[in-house]
Amino acid sequence: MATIAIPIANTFSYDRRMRRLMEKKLAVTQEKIDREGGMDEGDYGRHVAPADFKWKIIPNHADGSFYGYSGWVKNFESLLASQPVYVNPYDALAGQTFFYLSKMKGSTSADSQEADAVASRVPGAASCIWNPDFNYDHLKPFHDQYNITHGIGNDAHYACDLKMGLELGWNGILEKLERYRNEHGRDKTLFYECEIRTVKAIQMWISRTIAEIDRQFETEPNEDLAANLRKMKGVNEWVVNGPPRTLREACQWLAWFVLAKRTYNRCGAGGQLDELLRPYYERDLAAGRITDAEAAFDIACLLLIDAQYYQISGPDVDGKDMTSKVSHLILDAAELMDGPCNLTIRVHDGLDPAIFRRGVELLFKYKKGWPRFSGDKALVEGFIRAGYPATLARMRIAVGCNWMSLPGLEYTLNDLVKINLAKVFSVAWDEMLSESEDPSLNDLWARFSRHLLVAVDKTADGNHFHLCYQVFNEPELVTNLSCCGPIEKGLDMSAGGAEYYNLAIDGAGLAVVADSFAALEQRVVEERKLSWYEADRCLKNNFQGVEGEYVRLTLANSERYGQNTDNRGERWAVRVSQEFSRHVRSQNERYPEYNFIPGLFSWANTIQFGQAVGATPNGRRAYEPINHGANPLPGFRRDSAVTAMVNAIAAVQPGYGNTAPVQLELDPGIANSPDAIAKIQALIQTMFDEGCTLLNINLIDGDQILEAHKDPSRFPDLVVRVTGFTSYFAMLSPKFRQLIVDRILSRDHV
Amino acid sequence: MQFTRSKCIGCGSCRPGADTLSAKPDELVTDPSGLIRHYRGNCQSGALVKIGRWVSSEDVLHEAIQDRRFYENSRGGVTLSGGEITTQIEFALETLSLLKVNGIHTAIETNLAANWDRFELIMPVIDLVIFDIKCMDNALHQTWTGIPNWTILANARRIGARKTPIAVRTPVIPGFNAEPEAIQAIAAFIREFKNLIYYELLAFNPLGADKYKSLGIPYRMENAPVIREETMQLLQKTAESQGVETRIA
Repeated sequence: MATIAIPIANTFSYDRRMRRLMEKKLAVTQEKIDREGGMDEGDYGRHVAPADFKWKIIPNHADGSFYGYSGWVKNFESLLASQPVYVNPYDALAGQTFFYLSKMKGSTSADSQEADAVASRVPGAASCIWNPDFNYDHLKPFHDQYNITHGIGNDAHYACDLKMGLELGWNGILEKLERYRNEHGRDKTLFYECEIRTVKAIQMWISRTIAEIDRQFETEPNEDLAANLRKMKGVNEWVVNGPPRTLREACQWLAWFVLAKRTYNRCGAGGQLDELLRPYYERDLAAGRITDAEAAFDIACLLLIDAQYYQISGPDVDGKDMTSKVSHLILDAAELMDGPCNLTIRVHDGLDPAIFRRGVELLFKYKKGWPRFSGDKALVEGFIRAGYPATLARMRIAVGCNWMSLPGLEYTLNDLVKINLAKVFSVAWDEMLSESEDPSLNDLWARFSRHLLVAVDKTADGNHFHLCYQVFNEPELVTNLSCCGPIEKGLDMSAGGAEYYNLAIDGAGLAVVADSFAALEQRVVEERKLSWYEADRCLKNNFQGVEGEYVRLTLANSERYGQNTDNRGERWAVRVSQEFSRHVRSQNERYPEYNFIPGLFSWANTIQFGQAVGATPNGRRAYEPINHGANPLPGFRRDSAVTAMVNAIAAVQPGYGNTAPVQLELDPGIANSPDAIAKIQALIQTMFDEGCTLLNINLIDGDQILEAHKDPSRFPDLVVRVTGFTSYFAMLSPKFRQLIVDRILSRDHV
Repeated sequence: MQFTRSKCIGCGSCRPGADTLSAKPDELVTDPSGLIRHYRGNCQSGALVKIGRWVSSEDVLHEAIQDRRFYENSRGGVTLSGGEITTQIEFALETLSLLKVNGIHTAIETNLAANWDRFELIMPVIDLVIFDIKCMDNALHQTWTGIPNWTILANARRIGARKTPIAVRTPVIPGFNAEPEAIQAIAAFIREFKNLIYYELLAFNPLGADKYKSLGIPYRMENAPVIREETMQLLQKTAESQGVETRIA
């Protein structure tokens, strides 16, 4: 790449510096695409190491991989000591992620592609390379039978208490580790030794980066950039040991922690960012050492370094709105960056109207899927129903694709564990048609419910298995450092270190099941347009021929979930959702040490889940995708009325504090209406009043997305919200791009 | 009746080309290839459909009430639109009354081409009237719409003298009214209305062509040019120069 000589005396506005950083980000993204191809996950901001960089994992197991405390710490130390360090003179912050260690443990090969290839075969099992010493063959037949995404061996999907880390700093964490090691004597030696080594590895990584800052400072001819590097060096020399004192130090400390946990095992959960940064900003402001423009730039660099999920605004523990000047500065920062971003505004009764309106305005202005919005009312009521006080419920913030977490307090398996409800239905259907001489709707429901319970039981057994042995597979050495309990108890978060174990089990394919029951009720039972056996024959031959197509359309044109309030489709959807929730909650009796919480979410695996299910009585052909999350299937209603869809999703909320998100694709043309902002605000407010929990929203031009699908390289900065996460469209795999295109087309052509 | 070729699976349930003497005229449609198709209520593909359905005022209320919270938060409500609602005035009155009694904001969209007594009847249960004024030139109006504009303008004056808020719209059609003079004349006419909340110019587009085709009706605007954005902006400025708040869509 050609380098451009910067005149020595050139000065750089924050905007100009950010443009340079974004150019670099786009170049890195293109390099990733060229070298690795498209991806099936979000763009976290990871860079790629030079092509000639080689690093091999250090196995501690006969299978060639590494496991447990010793295996992980050794590899983490080695990787952090070897991988490139990243410093950019335009940036306020130093550091960058190059690798995800959890994706590299597949074999002794240094090439992470092999591990990726293994992982990508199983929906949601991005890094499920499990320690073979702990066998779960007894569960695998059930995983196959019900197409269960079991989550066994998966990475951290909960939030750390970042405030704790900020207050302690790395040396403070070390002192805490030493103190508790002494308290526990020799009992927990391995845990403490590995945690201490983890902290020291991170400190060593920061020190190597400081050396690189120094090197660049020595050779930087431009005065402005040299001054920035000098300041960057001072910031890092402090935060390598001490707790941050200024906003920039706080952003830099957060950046290191975020990069460390991302490198370790891809953890992407941030925190309540406005409240985390507010004390530092206010202190800087009182001391007259910061401007708002500088603060916004520092925060923008934090957002740029890694697309973690952060919440802003929302109620504090007493219900008082937390919106502050820093909340607005974070939106300023997101505007300045203008790239993939995962900010969520929590909508509650006391929310500052200005931040709410601004959030919607930015959604329209940039059309990049941020911010998202979460609904406090239903989340709090649900979590109270799950057995927690309102104060804790308000602390449970949006920090993941579809999920909330209590920072530092809970271990959750959020968004990792899913049951394909459509597959459960098809098992029940096949069983009834092969066993019963007198098929009926009641019989089908009874079999569905029974199989669903088995699927949930076995999923919960898998959760328990994971929690018994995950520490021997993939301990949470980084996130343990900023959580309440692990250091104090000397126990990993996955193995008793956490305060609460709220285990998420999500159902996927609700609309397929609800529409199937509704179609059978209407066409077979009531109208007698076809018999159970005719329907079965058509399903088995995938609606072949004109007759098959006639039957398919007869079924598909029956009443559907989302079409109308309290129609057949919705009644079945509510019934299925309630049955699923009942079965999930019943696991609390089998495993009283955990609190199982139901949700409805497919992540972006609608295609893979669909590939596991043959033709279904809702007129869906074999192996076609299932519905997204809790959304109705495309074409659910001729006018695809958003209000009807929202009413339907509100009706099926499982109601225990986890979400059934609304995935909304809007035509950006609505922005032309002078009332657009107010109307969308009203829509959001109403959906949360009605009981919805989370809104993931896209405003994408249909023609543009089709053009971008043909040639993604022409649209390098097109950002889309895939599910809960945003990503550059160009860096998604063709499969994921198709997913987005299909959703937009179904929006435009129903 | 509407027939959409792309949806047809050729199952033969509409007996294309068969003897249709027994069918009622409103159950028949001629498809683009000239075949007569008989609607028998069993076209599962949705290729041959009856447009519209019979609903009672209670049905409308039942559907509208599902979205009540959305109306409350957005200060929105229900708009009875067309066709032309004054052709079903009893139904309109009953429906609007039911909605009003249930606290739902009501609006109508009308072309105003009906006897005033019909409007007189429903005005008490309407919160907003949205109506078209297409052209002030009576001869042109007659040529393009088939009727004179006297009744429309007289009704507009009557409604413009009341307190019920109104919004006026003009579909901007090339060759008919897409000139500043035409829009200026309309704006000058409506600026006196104290209850006018906005004036909206709607750019002509040819998206209705397929629908005409599927209904078996010739589409006479097939070759009409699309209105350019600059033209719409010019017309907006022209209307605003008369002191009228103007939107374009």
